[in-house]
Amino acid sequence: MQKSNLGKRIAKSRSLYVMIIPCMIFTFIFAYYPLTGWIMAFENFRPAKGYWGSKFVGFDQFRFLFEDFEFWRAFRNTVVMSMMNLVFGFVFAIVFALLLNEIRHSAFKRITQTVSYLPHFLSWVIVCALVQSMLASDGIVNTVFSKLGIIKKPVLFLGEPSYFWWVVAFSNVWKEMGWNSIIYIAAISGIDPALYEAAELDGAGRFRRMWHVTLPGIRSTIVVLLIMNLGSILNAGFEVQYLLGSNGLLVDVSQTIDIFVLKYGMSIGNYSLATAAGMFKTVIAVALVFSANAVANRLGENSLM
Amino acid sequence: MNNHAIKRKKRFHIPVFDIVNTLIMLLVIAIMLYPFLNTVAISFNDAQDTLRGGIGLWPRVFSAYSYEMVFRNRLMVTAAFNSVARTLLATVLSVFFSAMIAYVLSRQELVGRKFITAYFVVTMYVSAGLIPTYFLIKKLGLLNNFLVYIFPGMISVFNVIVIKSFIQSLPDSLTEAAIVDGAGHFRCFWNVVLPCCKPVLATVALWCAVGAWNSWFDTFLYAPNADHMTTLQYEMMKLLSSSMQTGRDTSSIFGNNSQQANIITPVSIRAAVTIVASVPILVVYPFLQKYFVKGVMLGAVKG
Amino acid sequence: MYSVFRGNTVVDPSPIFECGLGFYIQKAVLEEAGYVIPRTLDEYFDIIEAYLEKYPEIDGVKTSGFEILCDGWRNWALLNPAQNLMGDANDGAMFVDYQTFEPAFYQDTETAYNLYKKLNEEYRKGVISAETLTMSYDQYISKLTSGAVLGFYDQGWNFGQAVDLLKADGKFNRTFVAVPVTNEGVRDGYIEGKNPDGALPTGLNGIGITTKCKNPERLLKFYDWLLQRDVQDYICWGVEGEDWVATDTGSKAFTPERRAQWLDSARRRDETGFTVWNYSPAWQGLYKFDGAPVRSNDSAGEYLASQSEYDQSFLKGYGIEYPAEMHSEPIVRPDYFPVWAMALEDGSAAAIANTKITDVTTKYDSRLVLAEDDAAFDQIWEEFLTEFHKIDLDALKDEVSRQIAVKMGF
Repeated sequence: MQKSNLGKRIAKSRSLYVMIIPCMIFTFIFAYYPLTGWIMAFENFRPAKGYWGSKFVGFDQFRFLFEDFEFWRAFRNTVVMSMMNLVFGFVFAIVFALLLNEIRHSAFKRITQTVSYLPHFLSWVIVCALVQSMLASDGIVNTVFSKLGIIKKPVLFLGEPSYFWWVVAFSNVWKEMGWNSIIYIAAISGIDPALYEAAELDGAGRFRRMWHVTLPGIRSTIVVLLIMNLGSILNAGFEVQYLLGSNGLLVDVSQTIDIFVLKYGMSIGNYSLATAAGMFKTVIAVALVFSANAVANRLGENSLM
Repeated sequence: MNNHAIKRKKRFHIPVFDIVNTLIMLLVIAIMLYPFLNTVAISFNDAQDTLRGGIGLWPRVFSAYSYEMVFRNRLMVTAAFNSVARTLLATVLSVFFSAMIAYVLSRQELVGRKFITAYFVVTMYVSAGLIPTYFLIKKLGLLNNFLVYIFPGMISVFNVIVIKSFIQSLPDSLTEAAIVDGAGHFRCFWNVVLPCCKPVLATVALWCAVGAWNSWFDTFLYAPNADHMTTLQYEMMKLLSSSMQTGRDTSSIFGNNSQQANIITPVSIRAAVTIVASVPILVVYPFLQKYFVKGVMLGAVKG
Repeated sequence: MYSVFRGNTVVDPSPIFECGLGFYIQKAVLEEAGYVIPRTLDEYFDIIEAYLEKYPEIDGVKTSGFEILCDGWRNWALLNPAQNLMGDANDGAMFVDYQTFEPAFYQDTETAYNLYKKLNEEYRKGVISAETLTMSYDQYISKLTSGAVLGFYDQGWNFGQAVDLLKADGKFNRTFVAVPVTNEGVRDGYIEGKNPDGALPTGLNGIGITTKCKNPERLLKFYDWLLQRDVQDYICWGVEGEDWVATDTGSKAFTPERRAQWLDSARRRDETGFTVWNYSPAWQGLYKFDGAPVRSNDSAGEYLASQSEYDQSFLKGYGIEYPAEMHSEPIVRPDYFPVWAMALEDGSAAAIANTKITDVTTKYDSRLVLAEDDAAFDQIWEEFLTEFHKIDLDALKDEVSRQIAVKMGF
């Protein structure tokens, strides 16, 4: 009984299979097949010798990573900065999308939206140069704060470890808020206007409408993006941290896994180390994504799988 | 009658919310616009004078020299052509395939749906690294081949998931209507579902376009010396790397620490490069904005 | 890899005009102090402090006593000075004794302790600001161009752009000169002497010929031709009468127009082809045949003629011809020099040790300079020593010794 049922179902969806199997093969070639390269993590890989000619060293590369206190410090830094970026990034992007949605003058709305994602196109090198000049002791931030009486003497923002993570988080918001909000604006535009009308007739004010109509309307988008970004948590990147935090005072809080791997891996030609770190990241990311997905499912949310 | 009353009320009573909101938006504009205008100002400033620092919204010593340096490139036309070509091709193909996979994965009747979705999702977080990917590209004969700009990134699972989530929020009545009419899955996908996804497709198209437009690393890895394959971004990067030995650009980090003496000042050239590289793509967005208008869906269901 | 090229050269080394490395100080400060030559850190900072007190602002900008640049790979200002105080030139991570050719570490010596202690003192006195350790290279150059920086440790090529701007502004008294600061009684070794056998390749610059090159022989023939006397003369000096005239000593001198063009870095970049042939193989120095200089850079006459009026009076104040004469006679470096150019094998323990040394010293040296008081300083120093000795230092030391032995032919 079950067998024929299954057979029937497969037959029914055969055009779906036609559409998707070529894509699966494609993905296999470009994403799964290169994983044979993971063997590099267990060797002292030398490009000239290739996969099979390089010396096999078992877990030595992993041991180098896990036994180094600096690596775990980098791990901590990466996770903290990622979480801060995630939270701030989401909150600001969503709030911005909601507020922008309330602007009625369409030209003003479009202009604001276009301007808001301009910083996304500036490279981190430029943005960091600006951040540095703004946070200098004679820069805007210190000047304004002194005038307002918040501080008595200029604060060395880029020299105090306790401020660094906030500097990174806010720099990220500045750069990416507008860009990140695009998807939410797109999602909002898909909400049925009838829902708004109904809410208005029910006497709902601005905030009520945002809370009961707009937010729920984009909830699935938010959840999905949240889950996917959670998986990238160990990829806090390295450009910002490298550019702003390489000085000796900040290095304990600024060094991310990528920077660590760059220093002890790529820059001295040790690709095996980079591969080992990559494997480590993958394992954690996949675990996180699947757990987050399970949680979302439990909560009845529209999840990934 | 009711509408009239509401409208009259609104004309005389400007809500505080709108005032505050407008102010916030103006603040946002100021904050976001400043860095960009500053970069433009620096790009038009004399290279040596820029060393002094402290340029605001206006160049202190006007000079178009940086732009001259950027455009004084025999490969400019080829590069521009390649950039546009790869962006268009990559975007169209990527959006199509991502949407198609998203559609398939959104169908409840797909047997093994969970497994197949997981199969794709895992690839987002799994990366073999530069070297294995290089070996693969070489094996496939894609080195110095234009297709290397299209194939490797063609299926972006991130985009797939975003579109899928959007499709799943569409009312079921949509597809049910189509199936009742006897349409096969592909028909359903192409004629019914896709047109309803305009906002999210526009967003994904924008992401693909910007991604394709900005990439230079793949040129650097797979076609570094092939003049016929160069792109605008790659030419920009070459310019930056040669005149920009400040050690601050990413490509020099991958190599050794340059001990060479720096000769040319990079800051204003860096600024000019940024402007030249980003302005074309900025022009694209306004055309996509019309898809983000409210109520795009309305007609589809009722009709 | 390089092999030492000896014999068969056609040039002698030209005189060394300026010292390109070390503790730089504004000429105005030296002038104010009566043309003294500070030889110890104490003397150096004393005159800076005196000037700082007298002129808290220069041209509307707050005067800065001493800057330390530490931005990414430009970290030598923070990490290297100790070896110079001990009499070595710039060897990188290790200090090599010229008698025994044994490499040693200088980062944990008493000299280093005293150096950072002194810097810390100056920081607490307000001569050094905390911000100096967080600034970027761009900010550093922009500060130097203001003319309000009195002193710093650096290498000439790193801040050359700022000097060009100062000169363009006419602020010659705000340009800098390197002074021979060392430990008490130690001979200064900042200047790298030129090998009397002629232009010795240091294993850094070179040309690469791609394997796709269709005719490498022709390329090499081109370079051979480039090295001929009359071709070099044409490239470096130009046409007689138009660009240069003969001097009474049989040498060459630029015409005023040509000199003005050469000295203006912007014009030099735009109007001469200098960037093209600058990296091609070339001779450096004075031709053995008639003592004529290969390039204007090698010509004493050109150097003197290029000095501004202020510089000329400055040099007269010291009674010397070139700024380099403030230093002791340059020592000719042995063949292995410098250590920092040695290639360390990919992923080797030596490479890892090298990276870790940079990391640890960057971190702790910064904190040492900014220590709040003596007790904090000593505590940080103790922490530093513990971390420093956790590194596998022998891996690097052995590798460096090995390379020295190979290059010296032991």
